[in-house]
Amino acid sequence: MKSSANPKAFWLHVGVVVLLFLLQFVLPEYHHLTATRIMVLAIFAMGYNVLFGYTGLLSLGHAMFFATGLYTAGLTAYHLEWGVISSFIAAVSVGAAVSMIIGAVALRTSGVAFMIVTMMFAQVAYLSTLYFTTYTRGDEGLVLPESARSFSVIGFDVNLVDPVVRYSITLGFLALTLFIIYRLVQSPTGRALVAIRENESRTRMLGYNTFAIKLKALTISGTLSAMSGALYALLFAYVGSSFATIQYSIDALLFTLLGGAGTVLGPLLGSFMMFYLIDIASDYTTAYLLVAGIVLIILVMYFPKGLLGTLREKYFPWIP
Amino acid sequence: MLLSARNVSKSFGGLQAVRHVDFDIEDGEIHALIGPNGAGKTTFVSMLSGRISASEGSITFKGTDITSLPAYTRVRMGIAYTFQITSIYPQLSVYENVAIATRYRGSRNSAHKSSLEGSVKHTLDRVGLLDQGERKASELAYGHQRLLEISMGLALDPLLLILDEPTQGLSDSEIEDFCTLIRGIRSDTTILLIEHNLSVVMALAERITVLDQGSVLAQGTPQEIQDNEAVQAAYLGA
Repeated sequence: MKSSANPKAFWLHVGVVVLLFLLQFVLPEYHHLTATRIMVLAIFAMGYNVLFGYTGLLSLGHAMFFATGLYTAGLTAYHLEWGVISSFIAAVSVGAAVSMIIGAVALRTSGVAFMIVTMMFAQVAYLSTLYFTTYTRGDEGLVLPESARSFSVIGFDVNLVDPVVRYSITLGFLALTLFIIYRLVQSPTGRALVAIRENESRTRMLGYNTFAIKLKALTISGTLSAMSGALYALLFAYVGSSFATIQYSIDALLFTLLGGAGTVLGPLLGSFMMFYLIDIASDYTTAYLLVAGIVLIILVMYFPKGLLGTLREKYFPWIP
Repeated sequence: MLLSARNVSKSFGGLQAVRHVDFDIEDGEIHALIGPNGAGKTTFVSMLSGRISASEGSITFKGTDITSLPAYTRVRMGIAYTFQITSIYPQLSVYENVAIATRYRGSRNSAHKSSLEGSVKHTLDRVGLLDQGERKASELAYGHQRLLEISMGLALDPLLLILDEPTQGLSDSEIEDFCTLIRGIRSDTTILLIEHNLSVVMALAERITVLDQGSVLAQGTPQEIQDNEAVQAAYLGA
């Protein structure tokens, strides 16, 4: 009767990381790069899933947290010539602070109002990237110099231009994110997140400080999103305001919905599916977004809880 | 005195739902709060539990002023509230429902509460739902969902358990089971019962407060309430 972590669930997650590790040895160059990019954005979607999938809070402003990490890492590396590790730590720290501050304000609303408030905050962040164009170069963006992409750690020189290094670092952070979220959702805090999603007023009347728990969820979610943004800036050497647009908030939502909201692996699966759906469709037609849209409608009809969410409901209830 | 309310009022715009209510509940008693529809019963107990704030007046619990404390703090102090309209986690298992409630349980009667699982099973056993633990809460019959609601309150190991219309929608046999359950838990907790079913009230309560149009109409033992002419006129229809 007791609900506890299933060993099958643990090994499933280990298996996915091992599979991704082995994949790099067989992937052609183009797919190697694409997979790296997808994994970075999957971290973003997995962070988003903590708030949306597990806590039930629909944010339309997560591009702001991604952009916070992206710009903090990019601007400190480009203008202040900080090293990769310093820029990355600064980006994650600023991301955590920004998400906590925005959360403390936005979480005073709920439902549609929360959606709109987060979207408005993100719009302010986007416009700021255009307003301070002297530093950001707005839409054109900044390209980080090659000198800003190498560093030494315990005597080893690491160059982020090397695709193998990029893939390995990304996989390392993806595995770390998987581990954090896997542990989180099985912890008492994780169960409280689900309780809030299912019935917030009941949860409050069981002694839970629901505001504090939601703020914790948003801070974790925003910090992971900022981490993803920082990785993107440092690994791909580009920082531009297009990453702060609402399109990126919607992308995180789509990846999560497609793979399965409220499942640890769903956003990762959704990210791969969405990327390759568009990639394959664009090989055949310029109307690739139309094709992607039709496929998405079919998927939602047959997998209303996302691919992994539906599989969990029907066949594998042990999937966290 | 476990809980006292003094001069408590609540207004919603121009509507005064509760007017200057003084109310006491003693440690260990079963106290019923009755009154016709719209009398302000649920509004009043919502102020006691912290779901809504009082427009004026003060509430003390175990000698501490809790008037301005949020609901979750009051729950942690020992005030549990079960909703009039069943409020459970329909998509989670029965076990999970009680497990979530068990996190902030008190430290009393800890012999069987060394572990979360032991505590949850003990609570489910008390309400007769032990064999339903694996089922999704939404799959339970309505009567069992009401029992689950009560078990979530019990899981908090409260000093004061507020039951808002607990027998609403239950069959006669389920009401009988409910009365047996309340008699079984009365040694552990003080109970404030908001109830329309007068036979349940008369069978369980030691003291009764009658609310009418937001004000206290009468307070006393079941016999005193039955003999009160104002109550008979306003509520019992005699």
